[in-house]
Amino acid sequence: MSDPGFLTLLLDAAVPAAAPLLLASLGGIVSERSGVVNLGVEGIMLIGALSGFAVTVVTGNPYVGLVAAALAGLGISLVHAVLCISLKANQIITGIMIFLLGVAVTNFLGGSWTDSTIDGLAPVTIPVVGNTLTQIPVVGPAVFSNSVIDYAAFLLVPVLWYVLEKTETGMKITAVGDNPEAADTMGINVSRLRYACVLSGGALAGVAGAQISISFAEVWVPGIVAGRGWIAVALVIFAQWSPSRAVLGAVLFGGLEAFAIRSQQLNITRAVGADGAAADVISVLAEPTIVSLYPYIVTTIVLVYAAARTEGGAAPKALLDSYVRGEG
Amino acid sequence: MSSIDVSVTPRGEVPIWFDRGMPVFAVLSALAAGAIVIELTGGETAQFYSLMFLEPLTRFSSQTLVLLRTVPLVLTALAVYIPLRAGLYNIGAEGQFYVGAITATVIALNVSVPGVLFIPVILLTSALGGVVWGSIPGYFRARFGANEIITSLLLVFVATGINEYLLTGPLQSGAGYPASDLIPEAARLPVIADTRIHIGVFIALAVVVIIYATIRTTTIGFQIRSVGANPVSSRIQGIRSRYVYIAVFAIAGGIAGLAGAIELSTSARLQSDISPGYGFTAIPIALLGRRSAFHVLVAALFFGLLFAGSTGVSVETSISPSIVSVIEALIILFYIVGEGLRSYQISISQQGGRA
Amino acid sequence: MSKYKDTESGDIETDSDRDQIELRNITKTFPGGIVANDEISLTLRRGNVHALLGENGAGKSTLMKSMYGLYTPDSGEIRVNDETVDLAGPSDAKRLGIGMVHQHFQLIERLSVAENVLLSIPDEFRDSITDLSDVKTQLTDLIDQYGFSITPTDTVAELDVGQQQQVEILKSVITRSEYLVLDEPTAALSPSGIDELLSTLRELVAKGYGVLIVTHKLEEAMSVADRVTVLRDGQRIDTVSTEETSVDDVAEKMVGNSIRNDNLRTDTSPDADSDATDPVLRVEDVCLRSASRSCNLNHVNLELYPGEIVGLAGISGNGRTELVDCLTGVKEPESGLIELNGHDVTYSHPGRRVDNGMSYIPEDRVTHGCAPELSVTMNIGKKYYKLLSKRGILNWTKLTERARDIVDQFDVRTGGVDSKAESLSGGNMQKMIVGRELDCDPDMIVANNPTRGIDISAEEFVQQKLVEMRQDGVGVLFVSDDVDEILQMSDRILTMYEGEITHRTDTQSADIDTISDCMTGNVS
Repeated sequence: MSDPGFLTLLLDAAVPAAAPLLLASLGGIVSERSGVVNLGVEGIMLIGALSGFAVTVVTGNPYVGLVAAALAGLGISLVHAVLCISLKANQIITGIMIFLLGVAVTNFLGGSWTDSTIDGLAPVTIPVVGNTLTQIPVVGPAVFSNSVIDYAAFLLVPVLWYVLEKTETGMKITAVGDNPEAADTMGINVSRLRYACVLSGGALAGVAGAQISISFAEVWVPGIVAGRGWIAVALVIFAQWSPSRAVLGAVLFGGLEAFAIRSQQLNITRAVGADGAAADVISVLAEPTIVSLYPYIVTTIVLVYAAARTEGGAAPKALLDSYVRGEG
Repeated sequence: MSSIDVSVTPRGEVPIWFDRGMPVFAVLSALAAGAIVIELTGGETAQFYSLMFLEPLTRFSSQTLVLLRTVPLVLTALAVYIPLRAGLYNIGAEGQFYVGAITATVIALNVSVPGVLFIPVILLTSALGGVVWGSIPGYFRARFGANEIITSLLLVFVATGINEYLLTGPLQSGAGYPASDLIPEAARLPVIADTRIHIGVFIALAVVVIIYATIRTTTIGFQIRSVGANPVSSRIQGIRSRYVYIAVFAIAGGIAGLAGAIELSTSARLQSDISPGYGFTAIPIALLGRRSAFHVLVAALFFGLLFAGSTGVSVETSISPSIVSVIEALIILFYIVGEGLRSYQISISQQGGRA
Repeated sequence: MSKYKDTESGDIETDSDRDQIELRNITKTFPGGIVANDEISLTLRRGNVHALLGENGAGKSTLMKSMYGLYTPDSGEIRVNDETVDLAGPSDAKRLGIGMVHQHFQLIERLSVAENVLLSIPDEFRDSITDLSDVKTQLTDLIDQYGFSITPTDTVAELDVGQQQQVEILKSVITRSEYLVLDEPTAALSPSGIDELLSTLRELVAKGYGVLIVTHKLEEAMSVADRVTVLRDGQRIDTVSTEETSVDDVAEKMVGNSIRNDNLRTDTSPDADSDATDPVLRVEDVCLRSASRSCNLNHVNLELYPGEIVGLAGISGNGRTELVDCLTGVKEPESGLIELNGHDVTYSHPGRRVDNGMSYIPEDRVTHGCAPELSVTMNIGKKYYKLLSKRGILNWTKLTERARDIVDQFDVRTGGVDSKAESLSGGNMQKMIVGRELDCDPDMIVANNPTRGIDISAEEFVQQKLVEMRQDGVGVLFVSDDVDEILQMSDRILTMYEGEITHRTDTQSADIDTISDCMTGNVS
């Protein structure tokens, strides 16, 4: 690389870029492990991003904004939960509706907030030793200087892993997601648990959206989530419903996004040393607008790869099934 | 502790009026809910709905606009409808539309084809572009089982991104905003007399009829319906669902691509917002009209009215025209509620909680 | 209310009412007017084994589900330990000490034995059992007591059927239930598994449990139960003590007066020619290694000739389903050869088999046999639309005619061929499917449990039609759970055990005991 600091910058940008993907896909994992797919993540993130931003503008406190985003995510996912769990609606159509609703509502209400500015969540370092740690070459700034919500996203991974794999609540979630009928006969309240999972997933998606508007970008524009919600839905499959693998995916895609941002500082054509027709092709592929499409293309490829590789063994067996007692 | 007990039991017979009236119920409920939204955000509901529905019908220029809006809507909606009949969800019609529009622009600006053939060549190549683009999620689904919802949607970002790149790069004009040069007159669809209505209206009508006939009377239509109703049993009885999956997405992409080419005649140049979200509005249209292509047409006309009306609304009131997309989403919401009420009997009772 | 009284069964109550479950006049009607239970009464006492006996559709499951709170009866009373109870769900039943072992085990396969047991423990018992380690300790004890062959940390997916049943029993035993209901407990068990189960049941009774087994197997009911209640067509026929009655007596109560034809074939079989003709289906060395617990196929060979019915017997879980899946193209075998009319179709799509003369009547008519939300015409049309079309355009008139024709010929009662398949009753839906598969002039038919879950008249009709196909020179592979039915229908009988065909015989020289032994692997 021509710029010696490029890798440092790349990693530093990758962590906050990965955080919303991670939060949203963890939310997706919780929801799907209980048997409910939420395709509306993109819409929920948009609602989270706008409400978090607006509340931060009004209160001046980004933490209040985060709470508002979580509540907004919870509220909109309640619609999904009521329709899919209580009304036994088609989860796919409902999810698409939530997506469109999120886009529409934030376009409708969000226009006036685009000019506002906020003091978002600033990067913080660990007390006492923090400054020293950030001096670590290459990874220092990336790992030890981030906003609170970024740390929280990564810390949530072991927490969620523990809850899902090691606690009785986690076992119950597995039970309703795999075999709701058996779970019902075991005395587990299938609906209540699914509600809880869908709502927590929605709250996480809301926070994920707010991370973008009040920490990562510190700005609101309609459509700011830009497909990250859909990438998160794909990540859930890529991660095979496991929180630890979701980190891998989130960092990969966060890195890709960071690369798209940072690549503007590079002259890739010159760096590669190509000429002639190859140089033309490379220069097109290195155009920032084109580079910014790589996450979507790579997600598609990864999704196909994940689908081809697995036979669905890791997927919750009752995914997409509404449970009606006494049916089947 | 006492709790509200909601019991949901499958319904047996569904009254026919309920079945048929459900889309109307969804639309009316959404409009009512939309009114609440407008009131809450300080708008004039009565004024809004009259601008929305009455105004466009009273002036000829607005009626024209309704028709011109309906064309891309009905075509992209068919692009959602066909895979839906096979049990698949194409939420990438927006991207397929853009690919068609881009293809048409490139051909129109760079290729010279003699006279009468020019327009057919443009329409055909852009439909073909749509076929290629649309087939991608269909193929990935058929061959690898990759979720077609996510892949078709992700490809929307790619298509609009490529469009953005072209309009700020190779296709950029001197317009001062991201847009291509105007396409030559010869590449635009002929208009009727002195109106703005071009023959795209008739092309769209023809496509509706063709799709209706295809689903009803052809072997591929039979296979599509069969796979859509039960893919497992269809396979057992010998229907090759993989081909059906690829075919429905190819057809869908082709129609959406065609829509993009036709829309280019309406707008005269490629712009970054050549579609105000036709491919997404297509989803509620296809759901409301899922019974047949003609039902899709009726639903598309309604949304064409909404789109045309929203233009007037944005001029004469302070209400953002994006209220239309809110109403769209609400229509799906109430459609889902209606489906739920159709399939299940829901009773709510208060009862003493059990320990 | 008097404490001692005559029960419906006519027994004089000698035991205390405090130690029994009493069902009084339970009636349950389903939408469509089917009366599954008509004023049924039954008493289950602790320290006793009671069998609830009846054929498929007699109303056993419905009664059992009412007893476990899964259904609410329309009328009638359930009394547990002398108190009228209102069972709103399984947790109520559990709290009252009623445990249940479902035929389809209610287990979470991804979780371990201990985790499954932990989840099923009701809140009231959570004082003594607080977490997973408590469960493990107690389970280790119980497993030891009952001599089970599992450990608490085993993942359920890796256990065999008998072991999964042990988990189910442990779920009830750990909460010190007083009653245990087992639904068709021996259906999927191997002979050694059955022995183990019976000794477990004896152990349970000795510890004071009241055990109710729900079964359609007469001998089994007679051998383990103290008393037997016989159900037929939703009604209680009688309750008898096994010591005071005979197998024949109970058998008659169970099936009523309907006496079955011994052999449906009018023996004009073209057996002698079988050397001269080529087999319509040839299966050579087919192997399948399947995921998880389902059975593997191990070098399966078979030939099916025109004009014969070959019966395929075997207990579920021994490879019958897997073999049928391979033959019909639902699954791809790992190796081997499947030849249909001389064409290699081993790895072909089901469509190519259809084109080469195979018809298939699947076991599950709703999910595999038809598309319930489509019309009868479309469901029948799936086999005919290509023939009745020209250059990709369907001939609806002919298609509708064909559907009407099949509906008439196969006596399908419909509201017209335009009505949805889901509006048909089970028997009529099955006749529609059978009609579709038989009327297309096939060379061979795979019929997988074609008479399951349909009424007697439909059953006889389907059997009759299959025999007619045989007379017309069609080869039929007839798969059934019911050995008697196989004996009635078949020219030759193949028996599968653990993924292999272990026994082949002509029906004339067939011996039912040998076949039963082979089915259960009870043969050296």
